[in-house]
Amino acid sequence: MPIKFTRRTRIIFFTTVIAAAAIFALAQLPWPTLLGDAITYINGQQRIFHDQMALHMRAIKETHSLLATLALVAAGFTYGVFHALGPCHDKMVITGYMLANKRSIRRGMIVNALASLLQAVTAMVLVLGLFYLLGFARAAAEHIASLMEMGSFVFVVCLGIRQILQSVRDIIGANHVHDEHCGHAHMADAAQVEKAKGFRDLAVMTLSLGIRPCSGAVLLLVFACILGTIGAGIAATFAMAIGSAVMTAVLALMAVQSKNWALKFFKFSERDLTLTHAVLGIAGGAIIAIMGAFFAYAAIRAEMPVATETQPITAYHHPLMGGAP
Amino acid sequence: MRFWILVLMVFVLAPRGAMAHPHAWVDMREQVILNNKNQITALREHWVFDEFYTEFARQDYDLNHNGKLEHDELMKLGTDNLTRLRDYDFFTLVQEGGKAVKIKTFRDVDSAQVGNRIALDFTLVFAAPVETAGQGISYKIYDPSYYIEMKHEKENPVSFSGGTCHFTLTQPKPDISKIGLAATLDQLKQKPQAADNLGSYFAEKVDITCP
Repeated sequence: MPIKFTRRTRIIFFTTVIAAAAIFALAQLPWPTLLGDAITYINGQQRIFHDQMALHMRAIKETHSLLATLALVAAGFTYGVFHALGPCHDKMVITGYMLANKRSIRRGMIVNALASLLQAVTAMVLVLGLFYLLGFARAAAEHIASLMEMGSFVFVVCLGIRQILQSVRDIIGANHVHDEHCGHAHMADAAQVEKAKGFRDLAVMTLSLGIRPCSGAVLLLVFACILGTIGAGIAATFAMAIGSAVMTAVLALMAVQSKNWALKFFKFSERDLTLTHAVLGIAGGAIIAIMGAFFAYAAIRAEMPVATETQPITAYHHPLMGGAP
Repeated sequence: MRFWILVLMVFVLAPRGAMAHPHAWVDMREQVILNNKNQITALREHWVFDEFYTEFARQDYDLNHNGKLEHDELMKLGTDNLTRLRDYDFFTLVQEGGKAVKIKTFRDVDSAQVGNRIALDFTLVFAAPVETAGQGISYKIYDPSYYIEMKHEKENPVSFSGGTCHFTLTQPKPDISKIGLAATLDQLKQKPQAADNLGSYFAEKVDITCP
């Protein structure tokens, strides 16, 4: 196809340029200092949460009071909200998905809620299962968790590639609509396909994000098992899931809203929007795929470590984590 | 725009999981032991482990299975830990003019449960006394793998058994690459290695001056 400087080409070109300029501008900020301080702060908060949860859990064990249980549930919720504030790949995927797909805000919200709940369930099944079936092998728990994580990353790669393909199809499709004036007869079919695709997407995303248990929840449940306050532990785990789902939803909606404002500012028409979405979709899909591939690669490498000449494989046993005498 | 901020964050921060390093915490108080010639001969350390560590330790060391850690069980845990720590110089790096001071042994071990946390006390005896007239006496106490974060208590972090010495405690200023590494260790499933010496970048430094 010869390159024509149609309105379509210009929009794709300008969207790309603006995006590149934005990246360049943001790259000028003193990120290392800002991010370093932020992570240090979050790490400090993490310790406070751990201490709090341990405190409440012990109070539950000793007093069996409803108040202590509520305090633990509240702490779990706060932990969830806080955890979602810190960037993690779940949020990136959900936000990316909602930004890339025009009509998927509701879908994104559903996936977000389901994935959070599924994470809590996964953590529960994993920890309680191991605790009751295997008499609680810490090493086994770690191993299974890392395998599930790897699976989750592979799912994420597929999701990213899917997004790219869909966006490419949208660009071609927009052209098609423009040139041929497709009739309404096709609309029903398209809607059906869209619906089916939507459901599949929903399931894949929910699974890919949900099968990876949140390690905060795992720790909480392990502690609950040891202390025998499993009911309270489960309640707090779900509170944690709800907290992180709410915060993720808020952040994702903020992202979508910002994007809408930006598009309105540039006075894009409906069809332009489709194209802009498609361009952003390709970028978003690529990022999601690359991220997933990176983590999957790292996870696979760690599962099957390769010895190099300088770094032989040696199991490192932490001197203060010696285990039973 | 928000999207691209998120995009940037993906690359810089995404690997951060719910549980970045460190995984456990120790609060410390240190006493610098001086002899009557005003030389430093030993360091008396007081470590208090966090509640989760304490609970895990109780799982392993509650030998009579009564749900509590008695003094003899705590002592066994403490001695076992210190014996294992010998290969790591007890996580304690004392320096005199840029050179590491050799630690001979540990002694006077004591351990107790303070509230819901295990406290471990021990004295590290130096191979040779350190002249306080010497320049640049300092110490850092840290877990090289940064599995455990070790920090001084806010109140009375350092004391002296006598003499006219005083201390300055300097907070670490770790580089972003080290912070990032610590945050990503888990997600990347790299097993922390003591040899990486990651913990040293997050260690508080205590300088001792004896005018």
